[in-house]
Amino acid sequence: MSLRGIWVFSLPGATHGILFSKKYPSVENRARILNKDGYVKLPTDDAMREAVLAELGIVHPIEMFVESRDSCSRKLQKPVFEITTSNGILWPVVLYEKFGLLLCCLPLVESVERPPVIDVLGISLGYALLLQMIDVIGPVQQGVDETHPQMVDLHSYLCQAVPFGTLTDIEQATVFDAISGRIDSSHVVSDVKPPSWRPISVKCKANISFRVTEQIQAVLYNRPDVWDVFQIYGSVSCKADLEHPAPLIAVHLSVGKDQPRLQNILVNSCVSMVDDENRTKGEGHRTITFIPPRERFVLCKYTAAISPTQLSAPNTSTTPTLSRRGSLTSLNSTTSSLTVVSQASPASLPLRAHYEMTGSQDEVKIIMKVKLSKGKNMFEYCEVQIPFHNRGPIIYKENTQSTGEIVITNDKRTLAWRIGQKFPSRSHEVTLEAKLKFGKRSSIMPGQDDPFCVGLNSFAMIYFKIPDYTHTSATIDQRSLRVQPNAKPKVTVVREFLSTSYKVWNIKGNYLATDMSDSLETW
Amino acid sequence: MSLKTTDENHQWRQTAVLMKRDIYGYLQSKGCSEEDCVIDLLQALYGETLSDATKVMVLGALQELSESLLMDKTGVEQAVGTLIGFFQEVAMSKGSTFLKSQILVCMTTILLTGDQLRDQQSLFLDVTNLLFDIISKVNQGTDRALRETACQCLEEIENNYPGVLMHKLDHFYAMCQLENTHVRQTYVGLFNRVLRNAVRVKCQQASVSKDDISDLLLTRKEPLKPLMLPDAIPPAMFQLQSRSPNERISLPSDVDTSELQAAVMKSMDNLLEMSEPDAVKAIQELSCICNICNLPIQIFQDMQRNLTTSLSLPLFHVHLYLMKHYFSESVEAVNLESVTRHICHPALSLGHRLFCLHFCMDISHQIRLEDEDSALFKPTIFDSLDETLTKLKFVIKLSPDGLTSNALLSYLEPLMTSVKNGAIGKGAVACFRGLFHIYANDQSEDLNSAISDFVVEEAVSQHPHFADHALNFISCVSEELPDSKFPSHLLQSLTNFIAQVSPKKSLENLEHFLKIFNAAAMEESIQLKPVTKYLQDLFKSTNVLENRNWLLGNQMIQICHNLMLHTSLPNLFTSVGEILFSLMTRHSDTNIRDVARFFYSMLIHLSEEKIKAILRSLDASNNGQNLTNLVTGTNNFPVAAPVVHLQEPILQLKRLQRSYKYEQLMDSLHGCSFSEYLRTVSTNASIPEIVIDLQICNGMASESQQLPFSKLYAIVLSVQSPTYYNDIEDLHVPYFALNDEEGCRISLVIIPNEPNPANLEASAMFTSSENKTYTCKLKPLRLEFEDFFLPLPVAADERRQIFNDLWSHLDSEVQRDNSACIQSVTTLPFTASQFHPVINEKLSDYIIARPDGDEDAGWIIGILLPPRWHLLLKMKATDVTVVTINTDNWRLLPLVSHFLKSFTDGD
Repeated sequence: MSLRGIWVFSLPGATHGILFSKKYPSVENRARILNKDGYVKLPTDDAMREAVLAELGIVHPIEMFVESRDSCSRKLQKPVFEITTSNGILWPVVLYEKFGLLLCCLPLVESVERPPVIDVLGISLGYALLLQMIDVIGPVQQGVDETHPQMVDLHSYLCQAVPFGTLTDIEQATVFDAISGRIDSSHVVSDVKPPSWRPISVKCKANISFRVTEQIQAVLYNRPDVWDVFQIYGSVSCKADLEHPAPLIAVHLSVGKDQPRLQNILVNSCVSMVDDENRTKGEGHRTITFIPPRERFVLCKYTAAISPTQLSAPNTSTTPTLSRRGSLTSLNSTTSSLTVVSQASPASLPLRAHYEMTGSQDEVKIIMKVKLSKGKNMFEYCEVQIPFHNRGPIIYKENTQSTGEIVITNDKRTLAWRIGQKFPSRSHEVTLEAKLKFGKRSSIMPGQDDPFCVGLNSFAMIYFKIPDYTHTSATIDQRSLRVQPNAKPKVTVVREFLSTSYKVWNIKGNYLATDMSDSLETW
Repeated sequence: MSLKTTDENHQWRQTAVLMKRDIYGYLQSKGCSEEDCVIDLLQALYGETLSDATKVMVLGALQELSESLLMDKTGVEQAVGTLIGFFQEVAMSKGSTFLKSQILVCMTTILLTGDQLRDQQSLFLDVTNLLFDIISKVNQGTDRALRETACQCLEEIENNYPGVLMHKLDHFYAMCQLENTHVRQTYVGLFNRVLRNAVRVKCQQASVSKDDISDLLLTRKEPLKPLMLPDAIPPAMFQLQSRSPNERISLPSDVDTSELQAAVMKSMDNLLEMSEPDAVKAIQELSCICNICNLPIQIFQDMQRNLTTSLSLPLFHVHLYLMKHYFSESVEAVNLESVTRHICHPALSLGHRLFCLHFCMDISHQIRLEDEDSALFKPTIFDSLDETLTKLKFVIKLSPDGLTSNALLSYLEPLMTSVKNGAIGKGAVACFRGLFHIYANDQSEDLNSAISDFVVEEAVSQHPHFADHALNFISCVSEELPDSKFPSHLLQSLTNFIAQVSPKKSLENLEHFLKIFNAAAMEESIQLKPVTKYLQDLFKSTNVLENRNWLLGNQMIQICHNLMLHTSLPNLFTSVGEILFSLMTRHSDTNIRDVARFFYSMLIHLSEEKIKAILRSLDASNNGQNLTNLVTGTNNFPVAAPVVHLQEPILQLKRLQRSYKYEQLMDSLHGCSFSEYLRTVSTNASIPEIVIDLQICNGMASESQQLPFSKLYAIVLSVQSPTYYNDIEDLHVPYFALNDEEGCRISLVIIPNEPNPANLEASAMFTSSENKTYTCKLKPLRLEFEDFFLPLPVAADERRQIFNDLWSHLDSEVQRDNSACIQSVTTLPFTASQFHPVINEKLSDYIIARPDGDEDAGWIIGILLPPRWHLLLKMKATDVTVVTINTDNWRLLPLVSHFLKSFTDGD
């Protein structure tokens, strides 16, 4: 499960194509012996980059049909690729793209024949490494080359984390502790065996902080024949400042009274145990026991009850397991109001919205309404953005809104409505009406326009964040915290609920939807 | 940090990067040899102004380039020796642990890149024992990181030479139990690896006694001693072999494995405290040990539960790996809930979810999916395109009785809606790809008509720019299902649809429509009358022919070409003739008119068979490519590989003899005075040439794969010259047969600017009997310092005088402190009688005077080193041989020293 090579390339258009490369001669030696006739020599860095870009087809515009990239019969196993070089085909090349960088690694295959991906454990390890590497590098400026301090740091990181092409410990904090010499200078407690993720113990004030971040993705259609869909998921991160080399923490991840249990809980590898759910007086909790790393880490991830993809049924349907979504009393009337379910729960949307756009290519009228469910009416921010794809710049706007302010973004392609921190306390509903005119479309920016959004096909996005709130009521119960050996740390718990993608389709245009009716039976 | 220091650091980082990018280019640009380069790198490590990060980069370059830079044993020995010295110096000065660690990594890599275990066993043992020394200090707090690296170095040695550390297993076992710090996991990793290799070695032994395995673990009675290895290691010993996870070897059942089981359990206790990569590695190794040694694999069952709920992709991967290889016969199938938890979890990264889908597809037979379960994996509106397609493939593969086509098509609903709305780009590509996967799985009538309706009526008819997608879909289905009639039905439907469009209205999309006609014209089974009628109507009702559109004209010509080649002409004779006539008389482009006239002439004058034969031969000669394809079709026309690169050097250059040419120089020096001699030689007016006679032989190992040819024509041998030689001209050999045992003789002419030794990279390009061009690299050709030795360039009877004059001249130059001249004295461990045969063997051509019984006299040797330097030697042998060296180029002194040292190599 070793890696033969690691590369960092920039995408076409950057000043320097190759930002980093590292190869492992002793692994290459093994590849030669183990792959026998199937051995393919590593190409030069330039040739590798060229081959990777050719395989991804990113040298051609996305709008063009390119057979080598777009053919129906092309065998794809993303993020694993086979790269054709002048020396032969390299497989399995694992690729990851972020910040305009392409990170690649080539795990060693220890057989002559090509095995199924499940047999090459180096593939998932390589992918995990690429994710860590991008964190080490961070966003890069134009003009960065292989001698830039960011790349020198990456070199040091890989020398320590992957000394012979075999991954050892890839956690950044531990690796940089070793590089800086902090590991050797910290004292050793002889009677305690610390885990690998706590190589050092430092004198500090006992503090433990938890952050429960819950997110929602939703698509609202507002049509009688289509299901509105949303999914809620969250993660709990933790930072524990404790002196002991191996402190064992047990804590409850709980939900409120009569709330459905959290599902699909996946935990960090430092967690030694997660109990089954325990319900007392309607409140449910699961006990998570772990020895924390020194740095902030993700303790667990979960989804809201019922399913990863939740449904809000059309008003014509009845679904016993779900709350029914509210419907608009009048879709066409500008004075329409939203009827919402009486109680916020994981099975209901926190915000209902109605978006109506009519008009032509040069001029449109917009009516947008947003109503808060009976959740918490205290936002850090709440903003509606209406992007206008495949049109010219906005050259004229005339708007009336019940609250907040209207802004046109710098590129003049998006209308932003900053609703603010609170919805009106009585109606919980805000309205915007606007008239916009567009100029001539001067140039087409490839990849910037959604090809589906032509004519009246359009959507609005809602971005919001509610502090000190989770829609599932998930929280860390501070009173439940136990630390062994006995310690009394100061515990803080922060909760937040935010939208990652909250889309409302124009009621007057076409929309993209998946028929979810058969999913109901399962979830 | 001062500016100078910053610059120096930057310069060395830049150098390391340049070297890694193209080491040969770097050496050439700097005019230095591999040895010089290594020396420079090693010297940089001692630089006080360089930061540790820069030094680690320099070490990294040395590590990566060890194969290219360290060509011989001496080089490796010197590099490793220097690194050991540097390590000790850094250790003494209490330098950075990270730097020390990387020195260990670098020297281990150098050791493993060549086969030093066999080539230089003592060096191998020196390094290994240094590593033992480091790891033996268990629980030492200040050296934790270094001990961790030393363990990793030993593990890498064991990786490359399985079994080499087997007899230290008991010590590693004890260390794992004694170590209390976090690096215990690394000790456990080393122990697991050595243990796994040890049980494999034991399985392969002819006889294994009952206590063999327990003895390996329990014999430790004394402190860790240096590693001992047999003097001559048989080739099969410590040999790496490729193995499957389910390897069939196993220990005899009478072997006592109780202690082994205890050791495995102890290792497993550490799993929960390991880093993720270490845990994955340990689980794989321990499961392999259990498999070989028939230990109950159920000991992993508890661990499996932790793995399924882990956020870590590698840990979930290893869970599925265990399920595939060791729990495949278990009653319990892969838990569906655990699979969905990872595949559908929105909080996980897209890559994580995609990997899990791929892994699960590899063990699809172990995942029981009921009909209703397939909805679990139904793509959602939140899924990416890749995820949608992969889920579709996953459900197709896992559904026990297959889902209905409608159910599967509903998976593509958003994509199909997007296409119906004309959205091009990735969504459209994914949509057609999805249709292809569904059709490849099920070819029912319902599906045929559903796909056909979608492609014809909703995609291409509304948005003709999907013609490329539709044609590609048809071609992929034809390839996947050669017997299926669906592709031609679909093409027929598309053709019929276009034929109904009014020609005037179709002008905007004519390019797309003509592509479809072109494809249809290649199908014999398609009714093509609508096509010809459409074209005739088009010509009548529009001025498309007068618009000077060469591209469309070419597409029309191509359609006629395909109609004439693939269809029965009598049916279409008149209409094709009319189309061609219109093109040749009305088209505004001369080229189109000419081609149309040629086709028209063929049509009316030749028989159908002849027309088809001519068009076939035309196609064969241009490989199906034409400009129309290039411009209007996709830009992925098949390109013949121009040159085939062979991995193995199929030719070998054997050295025969060396000679030289400097007659012109000798002529110009005939009878001249000493001062004229000096002037002539120093002007480089005519540089001597070194001629190396070579024999070209078959360079393939006998067990190599058979090549499709045995005769090579027009061979061009290219030899790369370093900057200190003039460019070496390519050598041409008209013919060589691989089975020719005598080989073929050629001469390589070297014109040196400096008499430096070098490894010359050589490559060959040739044409084979089947008219393909091949290239391959050859083994480098080595030139030694002594290859450049020439007798003094005057007549034999004048050499003594010239020698004496040169000696006096160099003496006086040394006195005058001429920086280029130098005199040196060295000794060789030869008595007079021993030295006689040596000098006759090594320097006989350059001897100017011999002792000849006069005990006070010595040997006098005069050598010209091209292009203009001299090496003068006086050697006097008594108990030892004293060599006095005089030269006008002090830079040659290390080479001379190396050459003289080689006299003693035979001892």
